[in-house]
Amino acid sequence: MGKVPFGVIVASHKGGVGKTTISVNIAVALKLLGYNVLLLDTDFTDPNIGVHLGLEDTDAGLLALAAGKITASRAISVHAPTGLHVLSCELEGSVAIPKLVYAVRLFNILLRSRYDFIVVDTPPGSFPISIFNKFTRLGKMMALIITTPDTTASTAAIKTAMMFDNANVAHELVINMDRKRRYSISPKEIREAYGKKAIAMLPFDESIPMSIGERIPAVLLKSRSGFSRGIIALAKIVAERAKAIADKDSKTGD
Amino acid sequence: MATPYSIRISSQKGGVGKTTFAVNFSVALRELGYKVILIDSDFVNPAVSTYLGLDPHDIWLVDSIHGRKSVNESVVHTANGIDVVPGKLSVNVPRLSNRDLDAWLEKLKRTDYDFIVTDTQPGIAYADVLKFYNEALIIVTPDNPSCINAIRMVNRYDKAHLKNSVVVNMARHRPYELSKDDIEDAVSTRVLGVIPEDELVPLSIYEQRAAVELKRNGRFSSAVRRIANHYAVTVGGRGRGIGIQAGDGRGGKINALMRILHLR
Repeated sequence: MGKVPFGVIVASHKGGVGKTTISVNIAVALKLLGYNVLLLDTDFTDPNIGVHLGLEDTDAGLLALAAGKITASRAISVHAPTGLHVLSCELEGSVAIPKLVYAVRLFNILLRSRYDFIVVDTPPGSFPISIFNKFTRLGKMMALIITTPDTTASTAAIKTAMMFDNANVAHELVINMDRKRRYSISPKEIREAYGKKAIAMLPFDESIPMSIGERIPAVLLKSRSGFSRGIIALAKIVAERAKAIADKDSKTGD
Repeated sequence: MATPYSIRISSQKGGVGKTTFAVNFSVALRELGYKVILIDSDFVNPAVSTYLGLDPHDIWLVDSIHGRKSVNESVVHTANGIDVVPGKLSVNVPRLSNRDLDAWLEKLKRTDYDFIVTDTQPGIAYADVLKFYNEALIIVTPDNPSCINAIRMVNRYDKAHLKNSVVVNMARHRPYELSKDDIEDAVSTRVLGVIPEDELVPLSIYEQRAAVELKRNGRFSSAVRRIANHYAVTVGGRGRGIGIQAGDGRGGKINALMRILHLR
């Protein structure tokens, strides 16, 4: 891999479509594929990654690091079963949204880190994409827009796509919690609205609430489930995308 | 004139069913004979009009708050009998000052609605805005991420001296779910009702109709109606002026109670 980490931003305007679940599982899947991965929780209002992974609440995490109060090694915790590195948000900080300048500083620190992938979980809604500017300029970033097959989430997803278009960030659509009901919005309808085919279609899966209850990521708890196989396939696509960009960069001598 | 009773439907976490509950709860209150207005104050991802299949043309909450429209002009009258002030779906989140919002909410307090139900976006609520509400309902799903966030929200409401209760949504009674007692212990506030997961809900969203209206006796509809009944009894009984306006031929708290009993 190149020297600069590849950013994977997981986003959606609607809440509860599975951003955190997918962030956690794709980070674990990339880790299982042998990459160095950092999972980053930028959901300042509602940080949840610790809950999904069974990590202790942190009082010195992302906000403290962004403010320059502590070092990266102190802020980052390790998920023992997989060795995945996690940078969570402090609960105390849930009211105070960090200043943009802090966020930019944080990404500059991370840009110099030795990770292959940085998976970023985001809060529902829009957020200042300018904090990722350096990643964007290097082209070393893609966004995964998460939706569920219903009207409200799909309209929200189109909004999210417009936000990334405005910021010049490459994005792909992931349809989550697909239950194939007659009242589900069909992949064809979503494709027509979004403009291209969804990169992945993840089924509604009983292993997800179970894995959240057990605080073990679904790809570890039920590695053969439809959801887990979908996530692993998605992680491979993301890895290929990152490799293609890295290869192109080395050819152009960048 | 009676002051409307104002209820904030909220949650720290997204996708737990705030809008679904707000829409169906409003319709259930309306079915009890109350005059109800539903405000879509989710500025990030407003969805009430999608849920009800409204075509609001140029009626938006933001314009109303900015004073470009009066409260009356900002209202869409729906086929369910509730009034709705829809949110505007746009890429950029509108900028609003707290003062504009306060002034608008004060105007709303002087209307003749019995209930003001406000759907909100997931996350932070500023203490200034909270004084407008008589009560906040926190929607949770019976899992750790949702309930941990509810604890924080309860703390914030307690600090602002805002009465709050929890409604558990999408309960499936699985072994790995938190029980009503677990949740009551954890969030240290009252659990007002438990609403079971119901296929009726995604179907109703697809059909763009309120679920309580689509299938009156479904599991979901009955649970929502029980919560609406709770407000008719307790809020009305406390003499907050809630009740049917005299002169519409259906008035009085006793009649409201009769209707509730009949529904049960």
